[in-house]
Amino acid sequence: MYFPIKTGFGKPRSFVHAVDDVSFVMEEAETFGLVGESGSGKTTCGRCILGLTNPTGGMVLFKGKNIVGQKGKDMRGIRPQIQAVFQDPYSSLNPRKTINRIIEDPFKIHTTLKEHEIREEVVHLLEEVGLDENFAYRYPHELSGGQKQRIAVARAIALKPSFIFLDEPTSSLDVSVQAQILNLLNDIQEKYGIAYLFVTHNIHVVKFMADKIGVMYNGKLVEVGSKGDVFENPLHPYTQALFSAVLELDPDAKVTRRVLQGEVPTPIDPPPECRFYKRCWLAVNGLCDVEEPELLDTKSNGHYVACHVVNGKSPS
Amino acid sequence: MSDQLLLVKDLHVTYTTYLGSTHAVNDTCLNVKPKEAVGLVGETGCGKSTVGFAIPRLLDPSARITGGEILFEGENLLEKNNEDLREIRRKKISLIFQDPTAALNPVYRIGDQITEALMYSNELTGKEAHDRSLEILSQLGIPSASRIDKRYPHELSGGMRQRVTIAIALSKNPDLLIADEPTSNLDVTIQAQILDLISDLKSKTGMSVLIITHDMGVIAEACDEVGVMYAGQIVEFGSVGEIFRTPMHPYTRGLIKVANLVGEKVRLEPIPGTVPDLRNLPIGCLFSQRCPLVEDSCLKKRPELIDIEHGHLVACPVTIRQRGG
Repeated sequence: MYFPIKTGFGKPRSFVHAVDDVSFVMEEAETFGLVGESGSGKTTCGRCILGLTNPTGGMVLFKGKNIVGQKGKDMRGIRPQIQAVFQDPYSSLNPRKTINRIIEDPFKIHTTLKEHEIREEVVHLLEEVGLDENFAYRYPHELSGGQKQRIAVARAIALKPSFIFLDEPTSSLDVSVQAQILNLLNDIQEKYGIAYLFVTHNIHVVKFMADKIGVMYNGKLVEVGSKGDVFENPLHPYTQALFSAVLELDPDAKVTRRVLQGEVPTPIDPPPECRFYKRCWLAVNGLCDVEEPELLDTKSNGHYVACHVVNGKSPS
Repeated sequence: MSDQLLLVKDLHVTYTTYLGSTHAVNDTCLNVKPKEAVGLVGETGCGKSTVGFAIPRLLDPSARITGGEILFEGENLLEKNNEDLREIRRKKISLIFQDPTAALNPVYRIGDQITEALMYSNELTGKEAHDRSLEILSQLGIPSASRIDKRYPHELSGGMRQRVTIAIALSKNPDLLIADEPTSNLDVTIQAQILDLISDLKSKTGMSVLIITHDMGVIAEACDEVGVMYAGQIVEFGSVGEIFRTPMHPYTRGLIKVANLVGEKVRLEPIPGTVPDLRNLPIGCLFSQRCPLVEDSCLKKRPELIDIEHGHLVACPVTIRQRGG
């Protein structure tokens, strides 16, 4: 999707290509890990799926139906099925509402349940996320970061969604609390069969949680495949550089790092070349600087990569 | 003792808050030798940043150092007056922080900021400082051709800004660099580069580094020795290899176990319970309520750091006894 930038005269002159031609498929009850560094477009992807931002082009097919640009009443049955948990537990919960009011909201908006029925649901949800019913009357500021995230999860699963977008859900949590939340997310997924789009820059976490992985760079999806395939055999040079930069918890580990020279190119009106061209050690002049590579599965094994060289293309 | 650069003894720091005094740092001891990188690792609120800022006496006014000594090059910094402390900060101790953007003045060009630091710490003239600043930038892998010196902070990426704060911090060839979460705000591919840079400069200049972080990966990558902090105390200290291979304190073991995410969805074992209320510390061991090895004696007396072998220190008599020590 493209964001227009206005340069003073009202009509857009340039575009920030935040997310460019990104396509991927998610199965039911699957965890798709979307990794990338800052500015890669991974959060924007999620926001487009949620309908928080309108894409400039393309489709989001949810259970076969395109949900892009749909009007309110057409989305009525669908909206509750698509939920989100965000990174910052401090700003995603209304500080002026008690916990019970926060969790009651989805029911009040989307169902016709009576008050006492909603209250039962709230208690049940608190239990699901491992919190005592006494938490119902507390305010968010009285909770720890981990507890807040549990509330965010409770709210997200209230209407039994089939899809949850999780944007760095544990990045602001301590390692021990992170473990608790990841356990919770896995338990919930196993119990309710919910698909997760898990966005993170933490490679250890994505290796733990994901079934499938997509790697984004500067608005483009450069590699997609099963977790096993992508980690054992990273094909795209950027993926290799990214994985080699991960800090292992082993002081004796001998790692050969692929150090990336230069900076991420600007996403404003990018020229028609591979976005990774200027930093790539495989780059071929006359090929990589004239045409954007397509995401292809040349071996037909479900492992896609967007790289001319890896996909065996030669300069024309 | 010539092999002591920094020796922190029984440091005690309390913060005065609306709800009472919190004991942020409790009887902490730390030893940083020359040319060494020491890490201070722990979760939120364990007191590691407080220790880091206490050393150059840059704590918030609400903090009070209520006990202990901070011996820097043999002299107790807690007995120094403001003027002497400023001299020490000018020449000998440097700091870099988590957010490089907040550390740089947004309305001054990069070159001017480095030059200013050089003129203040090294007493160079404007021209000398300017030339030296370009030299330092190139040592950090930033060629003068890139004209970084003419840019403003907002024109640089996060990684570049952190490189600049490192340039400023190192411009005076300090004896000690204190780095508080130096890579937490940076992208994955930049993190390793910045840590390599710090290690490289440490070898070249012979300075010592104290790295404060919650990230075990940073410790494994960049440190020689590490202290594990819990509720304001160092509960274990030793070489990084030892601590990762044979962690002894139950908290360290729990932490390493939970930080090691394998490649499949197994059940993780988080450390049960929560950190004690720092306003009302229990009498005995501060980890006792969450500890799988807890015994009666743990609740009566707070354990001290004891050297088990070759500089591996643990504050847990139960562990020491079980190992036959």
